[in-house]
Amino acid sequence: MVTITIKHLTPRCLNNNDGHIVFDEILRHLKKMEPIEVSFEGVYSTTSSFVNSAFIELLEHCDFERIKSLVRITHSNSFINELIKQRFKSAQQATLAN
Amino acid sequence: MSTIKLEGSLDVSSIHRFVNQFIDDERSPRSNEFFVDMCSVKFVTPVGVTSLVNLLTYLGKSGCIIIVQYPDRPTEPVKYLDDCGFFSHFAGKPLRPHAKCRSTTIPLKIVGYAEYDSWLEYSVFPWLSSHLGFDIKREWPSFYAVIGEIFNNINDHAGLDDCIASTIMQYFPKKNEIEIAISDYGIGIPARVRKVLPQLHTDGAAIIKATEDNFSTKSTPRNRGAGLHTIIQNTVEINGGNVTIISGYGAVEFNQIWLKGSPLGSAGGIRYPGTLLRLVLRTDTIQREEFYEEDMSW
Repeated sequence: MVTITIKHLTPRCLNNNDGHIVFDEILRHLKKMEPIEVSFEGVYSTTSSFVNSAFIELLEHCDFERIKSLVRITHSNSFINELIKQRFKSAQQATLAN
Repeated sequence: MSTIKLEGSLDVSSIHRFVNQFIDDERSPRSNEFFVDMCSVKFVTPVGVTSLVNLLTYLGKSGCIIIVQYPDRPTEPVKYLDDCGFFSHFAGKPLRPHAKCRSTTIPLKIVGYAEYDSWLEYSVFPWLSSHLGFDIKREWPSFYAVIGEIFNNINDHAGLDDCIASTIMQYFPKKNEIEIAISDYGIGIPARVRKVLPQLHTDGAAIIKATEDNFSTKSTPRNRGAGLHTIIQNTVEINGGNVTIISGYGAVEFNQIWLKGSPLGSAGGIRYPGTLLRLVLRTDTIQREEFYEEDMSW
């Protein structure tokens, strides 16, 4: 299990650029089929821009089932968890609609 | 010289008319010199402050000369402007020697995108935490997210040489409300939306479209939308507050009855240059995060 601690990669989790840094790191391990723990330790909140760039863009490289099976979100809070789940749900609905 | 007498309230309902006295629909100043009489202003809201600041800043950058007249004995609206830092910002010093920021106000701030995070951290969070009696950063994550979404939106969509917004926050303890006004003079939401949906007839419809989940103008390659949607979801649906968005010829309010937005008639065929957001958050309905770390289950 690889641990990616977001706070070690970016001091804030607010915009697309912040998210992209995390995205690159997750994708690198996803491509190798390695289980990943993404830790939000020390992060209290985030935005849809960050979540879209860090997580939702992964859907362009692998399917949701693989993400669910390999990526574990830890040391988070209910707000961040809900936001991540909402963004995935919306992205899947948008894919179905198109 | 053009003489403009400001009267009544400077608020959401009068903002289009007020701005239109100074600049036309193409943003051209109606004069090179303005004499602004503020003696008859009865009330100023945070929206009025940010609009006035943006307007005068814009006119100044356009080379206009502005002379402001205020009453010899400052009225309450003028005192409020003074305490918000309005005169310090433009004239370098307050109108009254004893003017000071009120404890319920985060004073006028011109916030650039690069610095808003530290502004939140060192000004807004301590101020609001002291009023509400809990740690805003840890226990009200949606507040942080909403402000972040606002600035991301300005950064993505303003389209000007700077991503600077004037902002002010006012806490109303008796009403259990926080009012946040943020205004920029960017290209505006309707203009951005029409680049991808030119068929939309009204600016109000374009604003409503921009708030739909997953709608994006792709103003930046990685932009997937959801910023305005998240603001409204957290402010209106979850917190029970309301959001007003004024941009171009449109003005739309989102509230408990009109979750998907209701166009306001106040624009009256007059164009607002840029975007103005007014958020009213309730302090008696905050869903505080029980702060403990948890793992997410898919």
